[in-house]
Order: sequence, then structure tokens, then C-alpha cells
Amino acid sequence: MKNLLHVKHLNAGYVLRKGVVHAVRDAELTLDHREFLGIAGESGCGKSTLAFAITGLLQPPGKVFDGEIWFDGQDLLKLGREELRQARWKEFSFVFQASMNVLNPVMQVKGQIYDAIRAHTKMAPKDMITRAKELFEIVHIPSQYLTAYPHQLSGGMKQRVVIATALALSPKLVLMDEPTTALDVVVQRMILQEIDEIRKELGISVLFITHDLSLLVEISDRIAIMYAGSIVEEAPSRVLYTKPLHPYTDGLMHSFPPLTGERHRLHGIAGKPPDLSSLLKGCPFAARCEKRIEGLCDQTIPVLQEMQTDHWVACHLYEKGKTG
Amino acid sequence: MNWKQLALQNRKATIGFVILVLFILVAILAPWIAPASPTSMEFQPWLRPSKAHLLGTTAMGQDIFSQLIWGSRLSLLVGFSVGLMTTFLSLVMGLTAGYFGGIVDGILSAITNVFLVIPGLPLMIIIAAYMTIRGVFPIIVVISVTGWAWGARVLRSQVLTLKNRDFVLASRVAGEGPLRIIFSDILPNMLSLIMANFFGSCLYAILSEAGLEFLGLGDVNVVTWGTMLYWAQNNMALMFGQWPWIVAPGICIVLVGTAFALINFGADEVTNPKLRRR
Amino acid sequence: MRYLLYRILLLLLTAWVALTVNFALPYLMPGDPASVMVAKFQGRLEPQAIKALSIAFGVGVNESIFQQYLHYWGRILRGDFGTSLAYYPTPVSRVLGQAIPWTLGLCGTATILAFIFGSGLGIVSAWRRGSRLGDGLVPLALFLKSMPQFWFGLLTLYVFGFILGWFPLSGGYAITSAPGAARVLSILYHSFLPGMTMLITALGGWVMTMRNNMISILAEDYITFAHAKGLSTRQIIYHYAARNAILPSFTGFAMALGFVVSGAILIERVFSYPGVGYMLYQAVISLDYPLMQASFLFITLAVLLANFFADLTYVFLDPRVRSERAGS
Repeated sequence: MKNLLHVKHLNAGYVLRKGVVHAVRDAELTLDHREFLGIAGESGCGKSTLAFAITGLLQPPGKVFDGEIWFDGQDLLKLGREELRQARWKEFSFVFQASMNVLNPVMQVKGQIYDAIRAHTKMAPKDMITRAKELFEIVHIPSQYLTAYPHQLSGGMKQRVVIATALALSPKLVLMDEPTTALDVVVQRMILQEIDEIRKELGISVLFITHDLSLLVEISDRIAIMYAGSIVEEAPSRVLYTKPLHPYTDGLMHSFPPLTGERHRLHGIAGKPPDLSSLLKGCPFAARCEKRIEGLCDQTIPVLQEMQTDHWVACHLYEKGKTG
Repeated sequence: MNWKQLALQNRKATIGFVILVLFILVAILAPWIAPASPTSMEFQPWLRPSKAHLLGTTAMGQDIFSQLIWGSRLSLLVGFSVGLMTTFLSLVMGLTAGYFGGIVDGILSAITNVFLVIPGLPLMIIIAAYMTIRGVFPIIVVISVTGWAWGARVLRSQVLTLKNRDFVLASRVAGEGPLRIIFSDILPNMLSLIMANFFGSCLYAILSEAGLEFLGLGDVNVVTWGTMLYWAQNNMALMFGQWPWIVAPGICIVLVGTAFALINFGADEVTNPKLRRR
Repeated sequence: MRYLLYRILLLLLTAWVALTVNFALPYLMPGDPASVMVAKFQGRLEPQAIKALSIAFGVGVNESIFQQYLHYWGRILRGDFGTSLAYYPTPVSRVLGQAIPWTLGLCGTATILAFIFGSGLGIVSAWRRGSRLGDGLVPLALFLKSMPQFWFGLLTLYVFGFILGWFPLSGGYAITSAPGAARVLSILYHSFLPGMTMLITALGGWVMTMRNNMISILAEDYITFAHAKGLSTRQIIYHYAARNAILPSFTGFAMALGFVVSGAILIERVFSYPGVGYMLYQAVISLDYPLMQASFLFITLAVLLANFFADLTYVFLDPRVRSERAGS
């Protein structure tokens, strides 16, 4: 298969006492080898649920309802628990949202790298030490911190440790869910640059999830926009930046100010995202969309289609055979 | 918080609550339910359970069933009184230490730690042993004075967490005085923790009371479940085969204790949402 | 390190408070209990004994309270606890000395086993939450926690000792047994019922503590990360979850010890087991103040030391109290 990752018609969400929340609705995306795909969307659009669903970490009350997740020729959803466990970290790894608590507080940092390695390979202790030092070098942490405990590290360092751990077994894909959000902007920038260097040097694919579109524009190869549980647009980042097709993407692009150029009034997008605990009729963005077509957009859900070469949109405005 | 919803969601606490209410009713209605006076020794001693004496009689000719029913009054009274007093002490100590911090916290925490480590029952025993007067009120005081430390520590940590929350900081910036902040910002957010604490203290109280009375350090002339056990043991009830004298008061203590523990568990689930059933 | 220093200071402070309370109580209680006691034993003991007793408790003595306090400290530091009245003329130190091994053996073993099994069950109950085993353990643990220990002891004694005759009814060992292996077996035999009573009644507390701690920990991000790394279930439960969940148990150890001690006193009474708790009880009913004071002192100091030991273990287990943060 050409693609490294192909998510097909994925439906996932949470089964709560008050009802079912469909956080991920019929999501579609593809990722190539050595490609950096950024996924942008606002809070609550389902991006974390998507990430957890892809990596099989969705715990009750979370659940994958149906769909296919093709990774390197295998449907991850069809794997048994033990097979999935073995695929973890070796095939794909996950960098969590930067939090205070992603590392085990009572274990030295090196131990947490070693146990990931030991769980999947039979590396000799000597080699593990070498590998750990290598990893620390890649993320620019002095190797003396290998014997540190998590509480002795700053937020930025902890996140670098997590990234180093994620690279330990040279996986093909690294998923990152808001890896820099909890850090200050300076450190954020540094880490993003490091991630960019690393992935180019090691040839890893990266799936980078964030609410901050501006981060993605420079660093991604391609960007996917997520809204109300579905992917509504997907294109190479330059194309998305200069010629966004979906009205939501257009709104997003115009809601952060450029560093240079003349000043003009920013407008946000009116309204708020729909409640994901109800089944929606029609396009989820219809209520807020300035360009909506009455009778069509509020009745039928648009399908993600390739409108131009390698530019996918889910919008009735562009549907082949209709006038825009 | 919708109490009915809470009750339905939290089966264990509801069961505990029901048991407790039943016992309270028995205590209140004692004069009407009990077939005889608990202290009158008019009956024949060592009678086996029968229709006339549901649980038999004691070595002194008292009706065990009546004793059980009347005994609920003082046993429950002590349990709740100690619970109230202990919770009050814990609250005062914990709130003051947690809110004011600094040297006040240092001193109060040191005192709390001292009381925490000194073992309760031995201290209760020697205090009670030196007392020449025996009675229910001294027992209440003794148990409360030795049992408040754990609650104080728990409540203090909660106050520390709440103190730094945004809404409290907002009140402080607005110039509210400490008493007002404590009563309108902090306390209302601690209610379920205080509830959990109260019922936990009641459990501790009822078990300590039973222990002290069993050793003969309560007022052995009043009828409580604990003193029943004292007299039963001293008259070798089990050797005589009169097991209801031992089993019945014990079961009542266990039931009331379990009720407290269940409610405490339920209140814990309210305070700490992670513990709730998913 | 600051943490450790604070705990040492606290240990010394509490020990001082305990010793002072021990001294002061007979003076503070209404009704002058000391004089009552001396009066009771007048004529039943030798005159020197009465004199020593009076001096120790400040009856008819011309010194100020502060001077008596100093003398008290002098006696404690010399190890002079006086003569037991209930076991006259044996010195209190000898009475206690003989009782201590029994209590340590019984309590120590039962507590350690309760901790291990209780925590283990707590881990299972938390990990298998939602299953019948996991949730079924909760009401059982709550029930065990609310049961008066001595009552459970009475029932087991009645059923297994009296009715079934499987176990002895009292004592630490059979006096008739020959020293050596037979004696050891007899000791084990006699300790079984009281030991089991202590173990079973203590389990409930540990199960609930561990369960609640585990449930909190299992919701933490580092557990999800461990899962993401593809670590085995066993690794996650023990090295990531339980290893963290056990920490609060040490900070709450003092509470657990209080429970152990009260259990020891009551259960030794029920089974007439010759430990320190039993001595305390005997001292109380026979107004043997010297023995009572010394028993209280021993019990309290033992608890203080055990608690301090738990603090040390906590420092060893939790790296966060050991060191400060490094730079960025």
C-alpha cells in the first residue's frame, strides 16, 4: 500500500449515562511514509478522540463504533490485544499533550525509556544505555539527566524526554497530540524546530494534532482541518494556506493576524460548534456558514472528495456537477 | 445537587442510610417497642430465647431483647455526639491551619501530628481509668479529644487546595475578610468532604465506645450495646451457651458501623469523582 | 531532607508530650486518683513499697510539681518503673519485659500479613473494577472494617475454641508443653485464633485504602502513557500503578497503627493472651498505676518508633521528598 496510515469511515465516541457522544464522525484521512500531516481543529472537535482511537488507547466509556484503521497493511481495529500491544511503540508511538504527569514520578527517566525498549526487544543493557544517550542527544538534553526523576525537570525538558522515549524504537509514525500547548511560546518554538529536524533526519512520519493552525502552516507537509468530528478539508499546507476551499478553513485562516502587512479588522467565525451528543442533520458547519445553500447544506452531509489534485474538501459548494 | 438522583446513583450509601434510619427509629420508639424495662431483674436468669423473651435473659434476669432496643439510644447518641464533636474540632483545626498558613499552620499542624501519632485507645483507657466518675459524657469527651486529628489533616489539605483556586483569590482581591471567605467560598465546597468525615468519625466513635465499655471503662450501670457485652463477658455468657447475649449487641454495632461506613464510602465518591461507578 | 528533619523533630516532640501526659494525668484528674490508689494498697504491701509508690505519684510529698516532674524523668531514664501492684512484688520492667515479645509477635505478624494481603486485594479490586470480584470486595471490606475486633474474637473463640474445641481457649502457650519444638508449636497453636482475628479485622481497612489510591492513580496520565508504550499489564499494575498507590499508605500509617494497637489490647483481653495489652487491662482493673503508666509508655513509644520507621520508608520510596528541582 502506498499510504502508511489510512483511516476509513471512523466513528468513535463516548457511551455516557446521558447518551452517546459521537466525537469522531465518519473521519477519513491518509498519511504517507515520511510525511508530516497536521490536524487542526478547535477544542472539542474530536481530535484527541481521533488520536486515541487510532492508537487504540480509547478506554471506557470511550469506544470505537466502526471504521477501519489501516496501518502499513494491517487494520489496527482487527488486531488482538497482544498483537496490538506488540505493535505499539515499535510501529507507531504517541506523544501526549504536555502535562505535568506523563512520566512515572517514582521512576528515573532512563528507566522509563528502558522499559519501553525492553517491552519490545531483547536489547543488551549496554546497548540500551547507548541508545538512551543517543536519544537524549537528538532532543538536546544533557545525558546526565538520564538519572533524574521527573519532578526534577522543567516542563520543556519533560516533554523532550517524552519525545525521546517516543523515538526509542525508531517507529514509522509518531502521533503528537498538542505536544507543546502547555509550554511557553519560546520553548514551544524550540521544540517544534527540533521535531521538524528529527523527522527529516530519521525519515519518520508525523501526525501532529493542534488547535493552533499557525503552528502547522510552516512545519507540515499537509494539513487536515477537523470540525465537529469529521475531516472537512485536507491539502498540502501551502495550498491550504493560500487557497482554502472550505468556508471554515477560510474563517480560520483569517482569524490570526499576519506578522507583516497592513492592519485590518479580524473577524472570527460567528456561532459555536454543534453539540456532539446529538446526531446532526446536514453539514455540521451549516448553521455558521455564510455561504450555505438552504435546502442542501442543512439536509445532506457533504462527503470528503478530491476536488482538485490532492486537495480534498467536504463541502456542497464544490461538489462535482453542482454550481458553486 | 439533586439528592434523589444522588441516592439512586449511589446504592451503597442509600442502603447505609436506610439502615441508619431504621435504628434511629428503633431508638426513638424504644418505650413502645421494647417488651420490658431493660434494667428490671424480674425475670428468671439464663433463659433461652423463647416467645416471651426473644433473645433470652441475662445472668441477672433481664430481658436481652429489651436491653438491645433501649441500648440503641445511648449507643447511637454517643456515636453521633462524638461524630459531631470530632468533626467540629477537625474543622476548626483544619480550617485555621489551612487558611492562615505560616506560623499558625506550623503550630496547629504540629499539635495535630502529635495527637495523630499517640495511639487512641491506650490514651482513652488511661484517661478513663484515672477518672473516678464514670459516665456517658466523659466517654464522649474522651473519644472526641483523641479522635479529631485524622480529620483535621484531611480537611486542612482540602482547604489548602481550595485556597489557591481562582474564585477564592478573586474574593481576596475584592477585599473580603477571612471569615467571610471561609464561610461563603471555602466551606460550601467542602461539604461532601465534611460529610464523609462526619460519618467516618461516627464509625470510629461507635467502635471506640464499644471497646471502652467492653473493658468496663464506661458506666457499667447504664444499658448500651457495649456494656451489654461487658456484662456478658464477665458472666461468661458463651461458656453458659447464652450466645444471643454476645451476638445480638455485636450485630447491632456491626450493622450501625457498616451503615456509617457505607455512607462514608458514598460521600467519598461524591468528593472524588474518579471513584464513582463509570 | 527537610522532610526527614521535620519528622525527627516531631518524633521527639510527641515522645515528650506522651511522657508528660503520662506523668500529669493522675494529677489532673478530678477526685485525686493517686491517693485513692495508695489508700487501697495500704497495709497490703511492705512499707518501703508504699513509700516508693507515694513518692512516684506525689501523694503526701512536700515537693513542687515541677520537682516531681524532674524526678519522674530521672526514674524513666534510669529504667525504674517501680513495682507492679497486681503482680507484686515483681518489678514492672520485668512484667512488661515478659509481655512484650508476645505482643510484638502477634501484632507484628498479623499486621504485616494484613498489609500484604489487604493491599493485594485492594489492587485487584481497583484493577478489576466493574467486575463482580472487584466490586464485591468493597462491601465485604466495609463490613470487616465496621466490625468490633473484640466481638469477632469472641465469636471465633466461641465457635472454634469452645464448640469445636479445635483451638485453646486462652494463654500464650500450654504450660505443660516441653521446651523446644513442642513449646514452639504450642505457641503457634495458641496464637492462631487471636492472630487470625487481628488479621481478618485489619484487612478491610487496607483493602479500601489501596483500592481508593489505585483508582486515583489509574486515572493519571502516566498510566495511559505506559499503556501507549505497550508495556505489559503486569508491568503497569506493579511498577507504575501500585508503586505510586502505596505511598499514601505510609503517610497514613499512624492511623493504621492506632487501629492495630487498640486491636491488640482488646483481643489480648478476649483471648487472655499474655501481651502488653493484657497487662494494661489487668493494671486498669486492679488500679496498678505503675504498671499502667509503664504499659502506656511502652505502647506509645513503640507506635512512635514504628510510625517514624514508616516515615523513613516513605522517604526511601518517594523521590519527590528527597530532592529539589533542577534547572531547565
